[in-house]
Amino acid sequence: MPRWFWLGVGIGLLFVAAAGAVKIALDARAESLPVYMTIPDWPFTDQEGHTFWLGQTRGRVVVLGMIYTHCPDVCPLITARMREIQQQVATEGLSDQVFFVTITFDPERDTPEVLRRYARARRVDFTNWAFLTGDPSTIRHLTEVLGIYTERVYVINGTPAAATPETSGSELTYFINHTDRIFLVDRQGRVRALLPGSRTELKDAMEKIRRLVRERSGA
Amino acid sequence: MFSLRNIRSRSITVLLGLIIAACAAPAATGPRIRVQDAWARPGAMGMGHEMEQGMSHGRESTSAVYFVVVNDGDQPDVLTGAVSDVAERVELHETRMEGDVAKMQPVPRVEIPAQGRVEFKPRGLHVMLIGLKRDLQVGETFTLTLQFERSGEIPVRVSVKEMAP
Repeated sequence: MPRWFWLGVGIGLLFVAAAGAVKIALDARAESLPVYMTIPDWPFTDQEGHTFWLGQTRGRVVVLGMIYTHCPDVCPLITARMREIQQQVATEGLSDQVFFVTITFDPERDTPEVLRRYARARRVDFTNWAFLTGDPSTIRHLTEVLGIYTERVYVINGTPAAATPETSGSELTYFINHTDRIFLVDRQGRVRALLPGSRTELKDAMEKIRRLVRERSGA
Repeated sequence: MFSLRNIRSRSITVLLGLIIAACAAPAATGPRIRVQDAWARPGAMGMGHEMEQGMSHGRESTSAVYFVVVNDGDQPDVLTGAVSDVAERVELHETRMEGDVAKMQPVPRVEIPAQGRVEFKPRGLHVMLIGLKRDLQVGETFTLTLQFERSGEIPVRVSVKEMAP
């Protein structure tokens, strides 16, 4: 065979290999989830009263939700969705790679004991799930970082009131209007998916969690 | 021609016709209320914290009750409230989603239309139990008494479940 023939074959093979590499890179980019923000490594208190730094979860994929235990309607659904995901993660043998974090945005009422009883009433498996409370200003800053909207609504005897904490009365209480969201966090502590909280579909959540589990640390 | 006897006879006939027509017409029976599929979320009793700043911090643990009210009658009724032994206060509430923000507010009354139904469901209308007097564990049941404007009090057996049945 003439030399130009082998040269042509070589160039052709190189072209095919380069095209393949480009396609793989484009596919990987299309499949990778966006980066929204990084979770700060701040200290909180878990349901047992122990200090829990959010950085402790680095190296694992994290499913993170924010709730308050006095919420009767939406927050229990957020917790139920997360528990559903936790059970599926266990079924797929991923429990050592996925951690669950629930943080209250009502630290004045949600003490570690309240959180522990709230979680137990919902049969939560604490093996890879922490319920966190903490300093009110730290929690307020976290809601700002995560883009969680919260607004207290004061109620007296079942009627909305233009009340403030200074208003006294045994029937005065408050609810919190809030964003309904669950976050998926990668091994580097970066938020990679925003799930619709109480409306989260298990199939969609697991598909994203599997992608994040496949990503190697430092990738 | 019209004789007095004829007029009297016709009047009696018309009167009898009216009476028969009145008897044949369906009478208004009012609302006929029944409640289906009542369930509540689990909840842990309050922790007995002292009052702070006039508010009952910590002790007012909550839960929510969901059900379907069906009105088979031909008149509407209004749900005005509810009571239960398991909670200090029971209120009608509604959650509204504005984008991805959940907003909750008390509702003073809920009309149940004639021949209609109203669903109390997650992220919508619900009965809120405030200040639980005991833990509500999955699998337990308790009684909730619904108060209607016309039908009066209707007791409902409620099952504690984690998710909708």
